[in-house]
Amino acid sequence: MNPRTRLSLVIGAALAALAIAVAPASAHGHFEFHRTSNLNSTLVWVYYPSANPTAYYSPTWRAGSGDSTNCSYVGHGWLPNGWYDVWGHWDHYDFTIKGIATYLQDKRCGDGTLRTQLFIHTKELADWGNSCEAYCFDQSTDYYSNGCIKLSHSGYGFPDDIQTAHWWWHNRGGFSFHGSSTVNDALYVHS
Amino acid sequence: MAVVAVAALMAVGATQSIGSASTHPDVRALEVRGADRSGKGLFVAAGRVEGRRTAALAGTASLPLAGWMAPVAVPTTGGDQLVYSTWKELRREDPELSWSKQGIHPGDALGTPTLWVHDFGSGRDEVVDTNSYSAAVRSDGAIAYVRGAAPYRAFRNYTGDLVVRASLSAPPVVWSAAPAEYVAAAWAGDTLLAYRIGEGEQLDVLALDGPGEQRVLMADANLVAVSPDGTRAFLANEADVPGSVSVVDVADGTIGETLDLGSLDQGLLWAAYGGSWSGDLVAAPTNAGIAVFDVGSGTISLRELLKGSGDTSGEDLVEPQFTGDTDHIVVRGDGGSGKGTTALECELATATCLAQETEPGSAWLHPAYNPSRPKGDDS
Repeated sequence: MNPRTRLSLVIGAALAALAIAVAPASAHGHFEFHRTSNLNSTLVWVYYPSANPTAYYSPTWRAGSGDSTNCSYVGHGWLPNGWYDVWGHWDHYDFTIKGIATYLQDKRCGDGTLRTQLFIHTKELADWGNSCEAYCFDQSTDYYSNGCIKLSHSGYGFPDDIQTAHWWWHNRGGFSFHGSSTVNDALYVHS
Repeated sequence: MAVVAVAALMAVGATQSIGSASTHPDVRALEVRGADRSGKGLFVAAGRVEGRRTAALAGTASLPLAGWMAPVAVPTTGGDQLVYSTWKELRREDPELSWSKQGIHPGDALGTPTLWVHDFGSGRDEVVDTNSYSAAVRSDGAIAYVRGAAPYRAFRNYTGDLVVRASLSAPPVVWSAAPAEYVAAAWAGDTLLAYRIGEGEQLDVLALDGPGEQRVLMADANLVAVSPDGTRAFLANEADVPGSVSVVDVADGTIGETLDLGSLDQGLLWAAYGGSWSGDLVAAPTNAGIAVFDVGSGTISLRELLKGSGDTSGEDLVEPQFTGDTDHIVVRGDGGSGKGTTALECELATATCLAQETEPGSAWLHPAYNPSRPKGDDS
């Protein structure tokens, strides 16, 4: 998915500088993305308090993915269904994508097309500020992406859903780490 | 492949003339009928070539790392050979499950691409290069492609170099400035146009004029098509939604005409890769269907919009390719999840298509075409 920026930034080795290595973890909670439309799908955090098999749910957030419902349309289609591991999580990511960012594993569409470099993120600056148009969430079309899951950010009339989802990730059965690390089964995408 | 009439695609074409203040495009729903004969197009699917030529390939032509950002199979000038990519799965994956649930660990090898050439005369296939995919074939026989260093691995970006061979037998020369996730798209004269896939699958269109001579032609953009003389590129900018389309001078990156898609009041949000340019017309896939733009008058205008019908929405009509003139195109109709893919041959004047073939998505039914210009032949 796309922060819709014209900036072309090289990431490469600099990514390692952000990484805080921790051991892979198994999730006690996970995100669920209900894929219903490019602009108006939903994301929810599901968690299981210790010794309690009952699932608890966060509030549901509006979320977008892609600008086409054809999964195999690289750079346009919404992300594929299925369970995802997470590759890393950052509070102040600062490359093409900025701010709170959760990096997802690659995933195949039905015909085998691989979707890569997908994140859960918003349009904000690395310090959670705004810089329109590339890094502010000021209109509903900002829910469009190239395939990533996009949440809203505050400042222009939209709720700070990226920050709220971030809180649930850290505080309700989620994880405290930041940086590159694999988290098993951290996202489930379904239609 | 058996010819299959596709009931799901059948619909009666309807014409309405709708236009903005500056353009009056014909907006039509495609009428699709079953074909009783092979057409002018050339398609690959499930390891076969169908259409105006038939052949068996060494494997299914496919591009999992790029989808149809570039053609999965490219005829050489004169049509005697076909350069195509295949994918060998090194480990069976269940896309419904996460990698961890399948015991797949970071760094595990999952697949490898291979670039092949098929000779129609001898019927033989030869490997051009391993860990390689997405060929751009120039009219003089030079070939560009992406060459990776190793198989595709879990939790690793598949980076490689853009390499160029003066001919299939010549040694590869690295043209890209540094390894990245590239896709070789097309030649525009002696300039190679390619994609760099970035975070969030942002696509940057690059122009490479020689080894290490790499520049960004347009960031956050799709290459729709190259002009017949190879001097200009029709690019779709995706920085905003709705986006825009522009004619760009390949040599210096100068943006000539630009058309904001939102100004057309046709619900166009974006145009995409896999289009074609013949004469003054550019056929482009869009979210609403196949758009035919006229670029001949010094401006870009929308001449025709062919919408989907039945189970095939407009956004599922992809890779529109003119077939020798500006009156006919071949198109791939993707019926959506589980509904298969259909090869269509369409007449623009009547918005009527003949459904040639239908295959499951796993067969990778795609038109075989060469987007590089100039073409060097009359195919």
